[in-house]
Amino acid sequence: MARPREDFQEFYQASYGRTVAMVAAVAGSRHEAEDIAQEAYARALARWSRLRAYDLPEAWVRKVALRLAIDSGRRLRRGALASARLAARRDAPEPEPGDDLKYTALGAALLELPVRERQAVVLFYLADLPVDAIARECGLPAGTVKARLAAGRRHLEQRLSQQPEAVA
Amino acid sequence: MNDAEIREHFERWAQPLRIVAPPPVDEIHRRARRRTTRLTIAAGSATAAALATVAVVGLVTAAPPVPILPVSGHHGAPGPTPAGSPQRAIGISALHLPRPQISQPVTGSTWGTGRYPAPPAAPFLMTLSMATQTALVVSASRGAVQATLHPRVAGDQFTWAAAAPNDQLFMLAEEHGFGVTFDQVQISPSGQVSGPHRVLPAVSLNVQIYAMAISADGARLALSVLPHSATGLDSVLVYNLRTGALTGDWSSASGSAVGLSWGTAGDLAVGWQDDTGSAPSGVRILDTGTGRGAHPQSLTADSVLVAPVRGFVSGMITTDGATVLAVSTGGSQVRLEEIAADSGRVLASVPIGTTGDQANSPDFCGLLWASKTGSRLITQCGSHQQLVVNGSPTTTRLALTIPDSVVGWANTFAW
Repeated sequence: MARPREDFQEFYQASYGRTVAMVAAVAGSRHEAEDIAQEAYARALARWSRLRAYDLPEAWVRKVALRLAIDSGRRLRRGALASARLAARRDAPEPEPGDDLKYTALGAALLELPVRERQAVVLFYLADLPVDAIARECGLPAGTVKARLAAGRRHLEQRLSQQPEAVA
Repeated sequence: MNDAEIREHFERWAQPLRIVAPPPVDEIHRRARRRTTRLTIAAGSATAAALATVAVVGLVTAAPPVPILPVSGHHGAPGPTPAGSPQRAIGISALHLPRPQISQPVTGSTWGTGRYPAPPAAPFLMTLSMATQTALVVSASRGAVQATLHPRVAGDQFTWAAAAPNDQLFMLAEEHGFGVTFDQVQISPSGQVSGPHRVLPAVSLNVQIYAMAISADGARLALSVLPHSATGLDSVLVYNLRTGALTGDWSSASGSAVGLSWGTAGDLAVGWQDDTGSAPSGVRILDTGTGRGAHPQSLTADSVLVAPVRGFVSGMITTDGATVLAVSTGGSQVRLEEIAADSGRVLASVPIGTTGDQANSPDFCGLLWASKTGSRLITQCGSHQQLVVNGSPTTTRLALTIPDSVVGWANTFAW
């Protein structure tokens, strides 16, 4: 059996990129996402003796990280909306390492969604969770999740069909 | 555009991020050790300015200068006494946890005469509301908030609560940008709340508290701390609350003290999580009378492992010192083991929930309250609560569902 410090390291290295991607989709910035993800892993480490027994410790980290992203997002909403408006006037550029993801078409479209709607969309399309699982994770009725997904999907369809995503 | 096409957009968008190389794990260790680290996403200058104003809320009108509590040298030098104001932004950990909600009673109490089941000898519990940054004193039998306590300084947060076994003395740890202070709260049998009263000066924020326990006579405070320095060791510190003196300091490089509770005659039960993988975890008993002040001693050498537990999560000893209560996981079950402290014999093994209840729950999983002998226990795992009498569990519903915390094991309530 691996030692706690070793299996935390293995878990951290294996899941870090996925967590960053998930948080970036909600927060809109890779740098913010990395900061939030590291905070979530630090919290996971602080209780690793318990989390390591879970079937899916990554789900715990994702949940904490998304909550942090949503809390921070409320404060940053004004700035993010301004960036999204700026992005809407640009041609979709090639994303560069460290560049804010909101300057991509999908990133800009996501940032125009209300944050709770964005969370549902990200969990559905990026984390590949079914509606029931999203409902459990967000503490919402499944019907609410479906409504948010439907609204989010309409918006994404509209924006992405206008402006194809640039891909590095 | 269908779902598959939208997913494809997400996949392409996320690809550069999924291959991001994580920073060295040491950075995560360092970060875990300094929970007060700023977040780059934290509030901007307006919030900082607001926090810089030492406002006073609640029960006091001014924040006194805070001296530094003695902590032995290997924990790192004490942080400077602040020249100005707290520098730490509001802990983001505090922002997402729900306010404790009073439940609706179901079919009447199964214990006591109140609306909710509650031990008559322990009618009050304290729970931290991370959403409102307050500590609530709650009548467990009536489900009524008896008092709401605020941190002394706006922007600070209560990080730990502990209860003495007499259910009349509670201790709150309040975290500042520059240290931790400890406040005592007295609750009379009629529910009259007195306090908080400062009982110790501040510990440097170079340590992070992992567990806290106050002795039955209210004379001693035990802390499990993790220094923020990269080379520091996990330690158990014991303070004399009457003099403020550090009476003992036990450290170990091989594991962590994840829970503390007082037994009889100065025996401190330490929930011990072995980090080496070569020694068992469980509950160790430390005779705190062997302490030599700030002189560091070995925790493993000075304590005895009385109850090794497979899949150990947390543990405590009953106030009479006879029974060790340990929460463990095995497979998908979370169990509470009752173990004789003198022989290590398992007296009972009670299922209290599943690991699924733990995994995605905002609610606590473990032991909430134990009687002096351990014959009556209250457990919670996720939203499932149980009354355990002589090893036999019955589902119940308490006045509160105790929330969990992402920053500790059992720091959000004291009962």
